[in-house]
Amino acid sequence: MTTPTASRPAPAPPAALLDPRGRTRPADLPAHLHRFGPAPAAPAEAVLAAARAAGLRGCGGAWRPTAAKLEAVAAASRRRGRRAVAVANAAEGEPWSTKDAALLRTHPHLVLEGLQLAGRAVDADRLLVHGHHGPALEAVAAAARERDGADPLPVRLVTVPRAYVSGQETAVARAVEGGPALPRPRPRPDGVPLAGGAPVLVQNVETLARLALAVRGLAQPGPLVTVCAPDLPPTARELRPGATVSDALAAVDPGLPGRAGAVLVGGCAGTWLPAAACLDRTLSPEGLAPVGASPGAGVLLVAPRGTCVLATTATAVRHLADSSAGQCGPCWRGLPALADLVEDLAAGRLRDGGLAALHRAVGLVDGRGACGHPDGAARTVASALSAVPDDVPAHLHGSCTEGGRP
Amino acid sequence: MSGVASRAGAAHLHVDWTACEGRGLCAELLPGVLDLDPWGYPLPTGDGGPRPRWSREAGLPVPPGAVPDARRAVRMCPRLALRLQEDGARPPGRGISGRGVSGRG
Amino acid sequence: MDLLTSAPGWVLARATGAVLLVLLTAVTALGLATASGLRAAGVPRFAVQLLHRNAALLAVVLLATHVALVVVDPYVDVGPLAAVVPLASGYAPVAVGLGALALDLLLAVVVTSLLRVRLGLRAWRAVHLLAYAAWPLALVHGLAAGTDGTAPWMLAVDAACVVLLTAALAVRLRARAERAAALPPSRTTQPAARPTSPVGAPR
Repeated sequence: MTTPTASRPAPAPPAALLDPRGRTRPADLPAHLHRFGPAPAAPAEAVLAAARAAGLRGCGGAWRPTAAKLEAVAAASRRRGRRAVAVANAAEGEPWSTKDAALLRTHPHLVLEGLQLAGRAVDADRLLVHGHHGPALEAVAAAARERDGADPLPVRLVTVPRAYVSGQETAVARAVEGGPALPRPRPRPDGVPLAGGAPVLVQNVETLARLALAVRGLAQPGPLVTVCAPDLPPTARELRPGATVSDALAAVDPGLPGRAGAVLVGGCAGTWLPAAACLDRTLSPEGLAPVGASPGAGVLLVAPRGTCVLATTATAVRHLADSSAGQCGPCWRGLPALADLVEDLAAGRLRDGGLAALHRAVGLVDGRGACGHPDGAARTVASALSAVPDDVPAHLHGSCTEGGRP
Repeated sequence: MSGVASRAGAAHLHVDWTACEGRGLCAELLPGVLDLDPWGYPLPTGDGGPRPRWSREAGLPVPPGAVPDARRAVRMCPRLALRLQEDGARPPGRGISGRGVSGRG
Repeated sequence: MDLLTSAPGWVLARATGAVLLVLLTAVTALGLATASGLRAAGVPRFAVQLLHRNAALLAVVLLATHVALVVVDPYVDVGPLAAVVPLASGYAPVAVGLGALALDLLLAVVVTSLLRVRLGLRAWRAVHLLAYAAWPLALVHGLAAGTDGTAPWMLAVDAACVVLLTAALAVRLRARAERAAALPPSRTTQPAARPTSPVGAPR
């Protein structure tokens, strides 16, 4: 938990980051300062200590401890004798995730402060915001203009295409260099991406907002999630600390937990779990690891009872196939082939021999590429097959146990 | 997965998937180590059992007898997509991205 | 022609020149075959690659012979410098110069190929594509500078080489087009990002 500073007790947080009804109206600088208080002039060590004390972890999907990451980049900077670049990653490539956009459109100043603090922690001389065209980035730009002259470093905005891989760390580093936002072939030995020789700190915007709260000694809010379903557009919500999957679903629609048949935890490259297996699991890596899942970027796709999990999986895998960076053969060849087979299975066109082909297709993409993109697709398909074990044989005979039209 | 236990007497083959175009020379030169997938990209042979996963961090273990052939494959790859990390050398890369997780910060 | 009255050295120079053109055509065609990813039944790809490489090295030897014979020939004023510097020849400066240019490019291709692993893919490939320029230069050099340049048999050889190379090029381009067509849509819409001017002047 957090350690409150001597002069300021930590208030129990009401919805600190997102509006409970999903309204987004960017807080201007005076409103921001009124709500959260002045930004503390914390030196690098204090920023690291705050991140460590709050137990901050990355909110972009990998959940890497923030303090460790800041230290790694700072160490790389000292070792290479080059000032670092700190990037706020707003490239929410996950198609069903809207929490980062919602956060940026509500509290852009919190994110920008977090970026300044992170920059200080790694002794950066350049600050960037990496995102897609749209209202979220505009909100950041407006907030940055409002802060004119108030911060130690100016902020530049980098726009990248709305592609799934654009937000991947090495893709961000490459875009910082002026190249395309595509992943690099090999991770570096220390895990720190480089842009033109300079170490790059890539931090998700939610992580930065949390850092700004931590440095102020404020308590961390619960997880930010995006919930969607076939009849429900992606809806971002903030939950109480320690919330479960059921809490997340109920925050959007109180009846949703009761209607859920299965949940795709982690987005279109996540893990399918039967509702009974996950509804009362805490939305954290520790809470979900025992059932073989991870919260990822906090996306929960619900397949209500009566919805065909395999059909939803087919849509997800097709999206992943279309989003391949096209750099690695096994991915851009293998994912469309996998998507074809999953679509055939979902539509009831696959016969018994086809299931073996489907398993083979999963094996042909798993781990074969420069980044984890194909691995995610493999995971989604494999988990779908084991989440609905009775539905698979039904589909092989042309019907669907959920009553959905195959 | 560091692969330390398997390193004695062996070498590890690494592939740059962004450079590989499935030309297939490597599988011809290392028939016991590599097969080709339906599109011509290299696939570790299963030796009858399940295929090992080609680890991004540790690479694919190459039996000592096949090391000269592996060196030849590295030299002859038209796309210079292969790298052989031999005994005693530092492991080439351990990234923050774990198995299948794309780090986005 | 005047084969019987020409000096044997000069005849050999012309002969090596003609063989060189055929050999260079074969080398280029083999290179295109490897790049297009096609596979001839029963012929391993690494064998085609080795053939391409060895034929290229043979061509270098033959090229050295061709150049040496022309330089030492007493009847034409082509100094050693003219072998590598275009327009430095006394005899038919433009025609010989084209050959010199072709030689320079081929030398660059061969040297970078021998140092391929050290150079890395991009640098090596950029120079290797100069081979596409070297071949037409060699062809025109043969037409213009060679004594047999416009002889019917030589023209027939030239035509055959052009046909072979065009076919190999067509195969290569078709393979590339097929691959490009199969790529996912997102790949083709990846413009490079450029940062905006800084917002928020520093304190």
